Amino acid sequence: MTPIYRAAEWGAAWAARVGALCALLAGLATCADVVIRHAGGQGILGTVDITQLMIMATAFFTIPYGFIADSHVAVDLGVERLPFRIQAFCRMAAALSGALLMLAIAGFGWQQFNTVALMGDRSQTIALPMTWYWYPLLGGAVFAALMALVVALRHLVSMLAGRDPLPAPDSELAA
Amino acid sequence: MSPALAGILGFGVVLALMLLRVPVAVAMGLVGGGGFLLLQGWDGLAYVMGSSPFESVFPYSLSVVPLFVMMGVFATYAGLSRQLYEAAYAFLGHFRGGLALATIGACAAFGSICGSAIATAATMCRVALPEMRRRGYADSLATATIAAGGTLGILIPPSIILLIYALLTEQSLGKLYVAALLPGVLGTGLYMLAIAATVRLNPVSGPAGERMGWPQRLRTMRSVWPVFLLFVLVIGGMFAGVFSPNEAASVGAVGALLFALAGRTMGFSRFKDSLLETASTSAMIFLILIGAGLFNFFLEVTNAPQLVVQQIQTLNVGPVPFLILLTVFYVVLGALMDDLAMMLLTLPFVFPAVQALGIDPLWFGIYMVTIVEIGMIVPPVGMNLFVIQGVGQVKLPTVIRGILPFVLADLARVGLLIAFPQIVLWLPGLME
Repeated sequence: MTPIYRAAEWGAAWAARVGALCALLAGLATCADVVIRHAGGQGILGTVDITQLMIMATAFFTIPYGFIADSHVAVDLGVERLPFRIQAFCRMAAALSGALLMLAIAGFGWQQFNTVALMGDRSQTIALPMTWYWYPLLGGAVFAALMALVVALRHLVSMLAGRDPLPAPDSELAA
Repeated sequence: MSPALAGILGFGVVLALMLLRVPVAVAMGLVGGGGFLLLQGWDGLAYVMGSSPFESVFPYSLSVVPLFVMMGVFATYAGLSRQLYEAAYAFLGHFRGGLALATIGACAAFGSICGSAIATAATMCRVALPEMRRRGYADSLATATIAAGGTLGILIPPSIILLIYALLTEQSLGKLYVAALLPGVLGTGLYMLAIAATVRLNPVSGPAGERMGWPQRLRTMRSVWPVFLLFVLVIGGMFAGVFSPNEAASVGAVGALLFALAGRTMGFSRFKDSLLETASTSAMIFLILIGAGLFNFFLEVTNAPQLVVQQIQTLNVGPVPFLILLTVFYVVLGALMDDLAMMLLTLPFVFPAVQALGIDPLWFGIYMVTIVEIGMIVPPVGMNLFVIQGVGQVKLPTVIRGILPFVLADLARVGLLIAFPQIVLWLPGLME
């Protein structure tokens, strides 16, 4: 269990960093555009298109990390008072719900992606193929589903064994 | 089953899933998708699941999400909090309870570059708590001051909660941020009054420090100019119409990174950490937008929010009694539930009612954040209490013991906002 979890955590953390870096690149492009425009120039052509592409990458590269780092907002009202095995069961069910949602997004997104590819849609200013905007969504959703399944597996093991196989805090492992 | 009933039941299922610790965004997304399957069959589900997640993230305006988060994270890593604290202390330290007053001032200033209450509280706890302990401050006053001061981070712009509110209710982020300025100043002032009242009742809880001369004060001010420059660039730029919110967020994030690099506080390892921290918060917000998008799509089809609005209208309740009831409801709910979850869950029903009653959506956003602030310091689930407990290594009852004056200050602020809505609406009115 531990090597699988560590590998998943490592992969999700790096994908998340790349996602955040995409946001920074979008910010740098916007700043450059602002500076050039305020200096009397025309600005950078396609800044909006590039920013949108980068932000799609940011969103869908970071969401998988949210599952493995348990940073998606959840209410811990009653579960933490339950016996350990029932707690583990609830957490496993929660992770499976996350996997189901992300798989649904990936599956139905794939259908939509094919329609977009068929139509040959392009972005407004620099005519990037709209399929480019779908790649992060599809890849990120599948990766997020996998991460949620790894978390579910961890809690399944916890439930069966009666103890958490990974007692160390997640954030330290990912750092 | 009627669509409206399906909508109300869907709300109940989201609540049940949340109690089983399913992430709020996942619960909303699954119920939204499941609801569509129930009402419109497989084709409806395929359409909404295929298009809504993309549409929830694709708009250009959403680039502000990771960039404002990043600005706060870089500012935290730039170590600006200590300089802010020292500057605030230079001006306020000689008063009784001066260190606590300085903490509130530093929290407010730090909140102007960091949009997270938890980050503000955790950062200021590391800086201010050891100093207050060294000067013999009561732990209850010291910890409660930081817990309450931290909440200013989500009111004073750029605020992450206001950002989420703006995205969910389609309000102008620039106007919301400008609207939050005076309530932020009011909140800071009321927290300072709470400290003054506490040390008046119990003088030993916050002894006065030594008075500093003007040369010393001016010297401390020299080290905090990056904070003021960033604030003026970002918020002033939006207010003056020089930047759009997206541009302001970009300038803020890049500017904070440059200050961190210039201050030599950002090595490669810390840069990696800061990216991960940005990613963690951004992921949370983006998944919320996706889940809320699916759920709101479903609710629109069911007309359930309109049904709730009709019921409220038949009660013939005016805006002020409605807001007073809502405040009681939210304070109770905030004591039981994570505040962001509370906002996400109730907004689809409450916001249409607010609009139907003629309450200004900008005003309501600031009111909502003020309520969320109360929730963050009210036991048993006030997040900032746990942050201070963890970072400051203190017992939870110690923090809770000192929190009452700050909760009263927050309630007074809610009352003032209801009585004088111009506190919120005056500055955004100047932008038109």
